[in-house]
Amino acid sequence: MSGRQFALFLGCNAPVRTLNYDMATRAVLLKLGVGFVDVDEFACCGYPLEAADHLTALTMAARNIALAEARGLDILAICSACSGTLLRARDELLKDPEMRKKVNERLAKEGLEFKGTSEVRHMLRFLHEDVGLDELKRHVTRPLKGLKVAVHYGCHYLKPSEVVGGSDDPEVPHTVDELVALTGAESVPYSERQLCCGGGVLGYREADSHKLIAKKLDSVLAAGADLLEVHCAFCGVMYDGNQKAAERAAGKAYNVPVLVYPQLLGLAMGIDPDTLGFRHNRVRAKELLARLEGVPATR
Amino acid sequence: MGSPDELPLVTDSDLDPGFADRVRATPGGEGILHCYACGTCSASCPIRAIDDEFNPRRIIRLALLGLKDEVLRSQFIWLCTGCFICQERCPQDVRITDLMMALRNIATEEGYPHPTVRAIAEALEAHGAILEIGEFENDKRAKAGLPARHMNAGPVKDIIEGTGLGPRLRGAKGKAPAAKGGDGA
Repeated sequence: MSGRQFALFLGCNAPVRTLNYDMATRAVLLKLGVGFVDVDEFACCGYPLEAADHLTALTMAARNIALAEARGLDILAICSACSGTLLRARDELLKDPEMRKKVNERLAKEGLEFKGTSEVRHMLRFLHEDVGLDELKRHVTRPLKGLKVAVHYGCHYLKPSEVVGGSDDPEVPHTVDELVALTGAESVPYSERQLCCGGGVLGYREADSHKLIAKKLDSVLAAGADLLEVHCAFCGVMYDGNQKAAERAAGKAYNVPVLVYPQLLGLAMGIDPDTLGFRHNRVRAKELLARLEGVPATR
Repeated sequence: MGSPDELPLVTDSDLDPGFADRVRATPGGEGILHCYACGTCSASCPIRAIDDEFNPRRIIRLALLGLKDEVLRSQFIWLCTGCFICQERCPQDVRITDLMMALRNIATEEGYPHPTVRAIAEALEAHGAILEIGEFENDKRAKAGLPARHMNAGPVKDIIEGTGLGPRLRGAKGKAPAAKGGDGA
């Protein structure tokens, strides 16, 4: 992979609360030879303020895109809430010249302009559609045989489908199952596969978010999965970071390891667990890693 | 829901006939008149499945009837988790997730923002992100071999103040709906 340069968009959560996602993403991109840079000027994607004021949220999203455009870079986002917000903002601004004018008037104060010249990609869409399954397969040196994975698609990776969904059917998605299969692991079906992580209601009614986490994890365990796969920083915060709180609320233990997809891919590519940030997984994955052939122990 | 005797009688003095038009004029609310109340949204909703207080079909009916105060002062409009499943399945293309955001935008304009929204805006003005990245966080990142993040909150603060959202939220202080039903931070 050469030529295309990305601005890595981490969002608010990954750089602070899901360091494993940050680390594993960089390790995998380096090994694949994908060029990326950090842009310090990036701020929140705008999503948390959609609830308060559409224009404010849209302007924040447009500012981030404009920063990438000024550098001639496409955006690679690892949080589905961020990629979804930036993609929806880009779509609206391309379709609505009035709104674009309003937003650009505000951005002009910083010398920025949204033009629509940069693309926004979610990390997994990039892997699936741009790198491609065949190319990724060529990098697999340590297939994860015997590992049963419950894939959590999450909401904003799929929906609204006309803007963010790529080749996925929002009701019967397939791209992440294919990405998991090429690592040698098995994606297992489970009843609550489509269930939302509850991140959107965490700040408004925490008890509801804990119920949604418990409902998901009950279903993951019933299916006999070894782990839950996520590819969104906020879903990671919910299932990994908040799993203990959900356990307390539900009055039972789950202890389901939550791996971000680049950790799975990275393991299959022969990258060691420490480089993939396994020390930052809140629910320890030590036993899981010990079962895999040829994977060194974490520090 | 209580028995019919416990439910308040709705009279025309409770109704704001212009409210549905106000919703239609707000970004995200354009499709509200297309709702024919089939209930696909409520049947699909993950929050509805675990919390009786949230019912998207009911909220849309209340808004269409013009029960403005009941909609805007309520807790329930803040319970949507933003998953888009109703929006995806709605046969009338009401864009319900966007509509829920439009109702929250109107509630904020009218002086009833949820306290969480105010806390988010304050954090964004202070840090440029919902979580602060200071020396402690960057030390942790350095130990993990990750580059430091240096956030400049200034441009984000300018946007929030420039659109009028900042002053609007500060002006609304004390008028927000009282937290109830186990709200988290």
